Amino acid sequence: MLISYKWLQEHFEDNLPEPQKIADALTMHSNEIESIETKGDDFIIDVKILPNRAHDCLSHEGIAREVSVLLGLSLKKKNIEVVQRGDTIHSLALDIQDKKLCPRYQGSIIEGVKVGPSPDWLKEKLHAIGQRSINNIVDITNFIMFETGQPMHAFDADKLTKDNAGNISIIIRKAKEGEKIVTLDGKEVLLNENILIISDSTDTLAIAGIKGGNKAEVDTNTVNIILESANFQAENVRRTAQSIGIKTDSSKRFENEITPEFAEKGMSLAVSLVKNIAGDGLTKFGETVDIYPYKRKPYVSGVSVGEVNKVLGTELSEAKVAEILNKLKFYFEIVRPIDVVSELSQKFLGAPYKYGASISYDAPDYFDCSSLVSYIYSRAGISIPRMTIDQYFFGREINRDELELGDVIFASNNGNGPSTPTHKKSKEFLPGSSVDESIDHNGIYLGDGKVLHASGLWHKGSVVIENLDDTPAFKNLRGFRRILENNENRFVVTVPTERLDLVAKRSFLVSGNKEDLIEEIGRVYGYENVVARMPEVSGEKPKTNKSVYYINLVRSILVDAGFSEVYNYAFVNKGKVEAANPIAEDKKFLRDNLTDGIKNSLDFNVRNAPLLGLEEVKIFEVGKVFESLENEYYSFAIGISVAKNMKKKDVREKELIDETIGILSEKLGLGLSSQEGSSDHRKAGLGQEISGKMDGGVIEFNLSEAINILPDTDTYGDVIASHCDSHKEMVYRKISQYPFMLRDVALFVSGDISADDIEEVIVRESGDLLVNVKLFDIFKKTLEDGTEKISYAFRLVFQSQEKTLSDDEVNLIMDKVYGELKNRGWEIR
Amino acid sequence: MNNSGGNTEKGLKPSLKEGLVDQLESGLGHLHPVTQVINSAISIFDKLGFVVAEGPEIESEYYNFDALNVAPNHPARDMWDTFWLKQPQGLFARPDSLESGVGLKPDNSRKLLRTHTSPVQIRYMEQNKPPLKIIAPGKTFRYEATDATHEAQFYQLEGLVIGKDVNMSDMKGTLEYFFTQFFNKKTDIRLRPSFFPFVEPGVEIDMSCFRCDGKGLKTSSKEGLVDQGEAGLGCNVCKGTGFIEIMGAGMVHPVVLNNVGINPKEWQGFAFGVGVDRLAMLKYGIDDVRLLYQGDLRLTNQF
Repeated sequence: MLISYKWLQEHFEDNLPEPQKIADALTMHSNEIESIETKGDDFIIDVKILPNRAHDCLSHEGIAREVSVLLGLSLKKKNIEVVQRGDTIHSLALDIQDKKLCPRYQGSIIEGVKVGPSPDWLKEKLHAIGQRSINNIVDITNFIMFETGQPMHAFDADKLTKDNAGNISIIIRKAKEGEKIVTLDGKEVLLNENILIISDSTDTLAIAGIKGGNKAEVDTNTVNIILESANFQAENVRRTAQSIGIKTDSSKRFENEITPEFAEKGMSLAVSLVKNIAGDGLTKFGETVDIYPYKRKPYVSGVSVGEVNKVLGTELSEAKVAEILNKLKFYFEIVRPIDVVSELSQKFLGAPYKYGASISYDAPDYFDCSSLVSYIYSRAGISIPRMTIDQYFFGREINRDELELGDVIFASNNGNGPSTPTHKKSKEFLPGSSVDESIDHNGIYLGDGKVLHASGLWHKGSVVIENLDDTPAFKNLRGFRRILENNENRFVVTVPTERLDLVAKRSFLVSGNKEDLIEEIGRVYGYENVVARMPEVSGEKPKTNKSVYYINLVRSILVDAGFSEVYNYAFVNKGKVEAANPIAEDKKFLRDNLTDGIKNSLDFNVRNAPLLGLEEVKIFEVGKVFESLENEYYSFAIGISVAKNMKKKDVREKELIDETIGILSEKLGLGLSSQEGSSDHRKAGLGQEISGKMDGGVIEFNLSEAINILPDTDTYGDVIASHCDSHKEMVYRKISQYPFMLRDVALFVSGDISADDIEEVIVRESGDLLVNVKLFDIFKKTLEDGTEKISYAFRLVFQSQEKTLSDDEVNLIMDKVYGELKNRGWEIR
Repeated sequence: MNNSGGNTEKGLKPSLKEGLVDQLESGLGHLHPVTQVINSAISIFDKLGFVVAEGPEIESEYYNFDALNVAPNHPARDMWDTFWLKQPQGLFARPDSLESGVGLKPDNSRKLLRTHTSPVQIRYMEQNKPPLKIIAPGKTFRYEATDATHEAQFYQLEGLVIGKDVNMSDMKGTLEYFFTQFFNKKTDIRLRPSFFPFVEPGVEIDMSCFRCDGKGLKTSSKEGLVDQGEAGLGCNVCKGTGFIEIMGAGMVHPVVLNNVGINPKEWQGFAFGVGVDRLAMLKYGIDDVRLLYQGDLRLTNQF
């Protein structure tokens, strides 16, 4: 989200600190900053809004709220002009056909607007954050989205179908299969029954929350408009946007879910801006039509200081936590939970019973048994599951004689009254936990043998207090549970409407819990203030992972035997498991063997053998291969390629493979054989044998199978650490893309000259372009006079990081090397 | 970009002698740098009592997403570009409209290539009772275009600690210990807010730069690592900030514990995930992640 520093400043009375200060505060306590760029006399801050903060932060107001909390700056009070509404020529009727997908819709008719260019301040704002100015009406809707987070839309009212009386109906409905819309940018989109649209009585006007259609486009001839400020369900917007491949700034906000409360603010701001920018004395503003079927009650959450410190590892005081919540401008009370339970026990008496009553929408006007328990505890700052059966598993089991005020009593009323479902298995809390006898009713114990409960319609049909021993509702007792474990004070916090990340949704524990508040408190306090507690190094010896042990034993044996490890791609052009969305045509499958990759690696590396100073390229790979969706296993393959041209190269390669398999068999204590079914001499006496698949100079074994056979081990020994230079200061040298050149040099020197002496001269004289030097031949000769002479032969490899070297260039270097070697009195052969 | 000019000569010779040549002549082969990084991490965490856990590379949607509180049709899913696998008709477990997978564990959940090693957490917690301490190194996959810093396959190392009172202070200490050991240099870490659906609070971890000791200043590196091209005055590893963004972490979300049958009222802990490739690239100065998967000994044999 791009934030203009100048625009942000308008939200504050005082001057903001420099942009970097704001960026630092946001980074350490809120959302990450991608970049800060200068644009004219403004700074554009790119804020990467975290997914859980996309409900409330995808706007200048949202970021201003964060800046205000973190830097302690007061937000400027915004007075939106209240525009006088009155009769318009046309009237507007709204019809929401799917209220779940459209929790709120506001529409306003405005007649007599002048569409034209936007004033400079508006153009500048949109321009600052990379938006194009279109005309004053469209710009107002865009501005409001980036200002408040509420997407808006404007229709040309004269282009809509009217009834005989000149009235306009806006219908929010699912599209019909095969219906089409041409979007504002001229793209035809085929709609279906899953897509929510806005239509008039005849035509599709917009894809709800995503994109407007061209039928009712506002243009320079537009005089009468309808403004839309609505709320659309997040999941449906997301699915639709994905299925039709259209993502917009509007869909982004809706798919992250925003509060329907934003709609009202968006509309009143839009109306006042239209009046001031596109209106005149004759402009008529109709009443806003507002359909808002389900208004959510404020959400209440709670946490104790002990819980905060237990998670953060801090020692915050009650006063400090209160200070942080005040900074956040969260409304809260500090309560003793037991007092709240006691207080509320009388408050809801007589409230009618309604099975399935919602805590967010129905309470405290209607309750069922478990919603009453859950609601009362939520007011005490304790989130508990919504369903009776889950409350049963959530509470701590106690005996009847331990019963105290606040404990929850469970019963079964199976067969009584209306068919309220009865349960044996938990749904949300520790899902799948079960009890022998079913449970369907509960209530809160108040002491003196009294129980508070929302009684079903078969009995009292409302919230009542009864004697536990007398009431038929608790005749079949199923147990007693304690929710209040201590009487620590709790902060009971009313969550601001836009902070949907702190509200319960989907399922118990997903959100709306103490953890949400702990995170809020932690981030504002500053995680940098969490002190590191060092772990104990001399802990108990952990269990050894057998496959990790043997995989690394194989690696270690092979490295000892001169093999180097390669990693190849898991994606190949043929195999048994196929990606539904491959990254490339030749990478559609997951590999079912390592051999093919090893062969390619051999071919590739043989070309570089002289550069690497290798006579034989010996490599191996360990990795998963895939036989089917259900069958993947570790495989390992080794490959050898003799680099130099020689007779019977393949025979030599086979010999080397056999030799290696022999070493592996011996060290692993497991018979490995190179041929299917051949029981050969390498059996290590275990009676078990794994046969590999041989293919040229490559052999591959099923390592998982081998590991299964091998015995468990209780220590990694030095298998994990061997050949790992973890503490060596090693720095990678860039691989050159240019060819290398070879030169051999042989010398005949007296017996007291070592290879190192010569190499040192070669390296020094050769300069930067020498990338490898290898001693490849050495022999001693005693001359007739008894003196000893040694012959050394070196192979020098030259390569540049920047270009292809020419013969002349290398010869020039060699002349220098020869010259210096000769200066030393060494004989060049 | 690369080392040219006077400063290379000094850098070249020692590495020639100590590195390539000597080791080749010793007749030993070389372990891939990713293996070396993973094994170094295992050694460090083994001392702290962590068990190494593993899981399949072909995962189900349940383990990779649902159990980790990543709901279907939630924008948080966009954090993981996923390779889905073709499967026989009729095997799609879930109607697209289902609101949440929490508490459900479909037998025939859709198959994918795991996008992180976090599903190993879930599998391990289903099988083992707390307290527990694990690391889970392994290969992971993301459906994304490859470039010098992105690969469709890469390695991750996941960590998980669950106990009665394991808190963020323990998390900070454990990770500081790890980085200090791994980079062989006293390392501080910095926590700042982040979001991953399976943790709360969620944090991004920055570590003090091992190259410039967190000072953000350019060092006269004998290896010729100093990037003359970008010419900034700051350290080229941390871009002059003194900190390197290195991993995501946080306190295990209670719903994750609940999903695996661990009572979140009794147990809590932390989890972290770090890119192994990134650790290797940082530690050794490798400039292109793709080099790790070319089967090229010009890379492996330097290590």
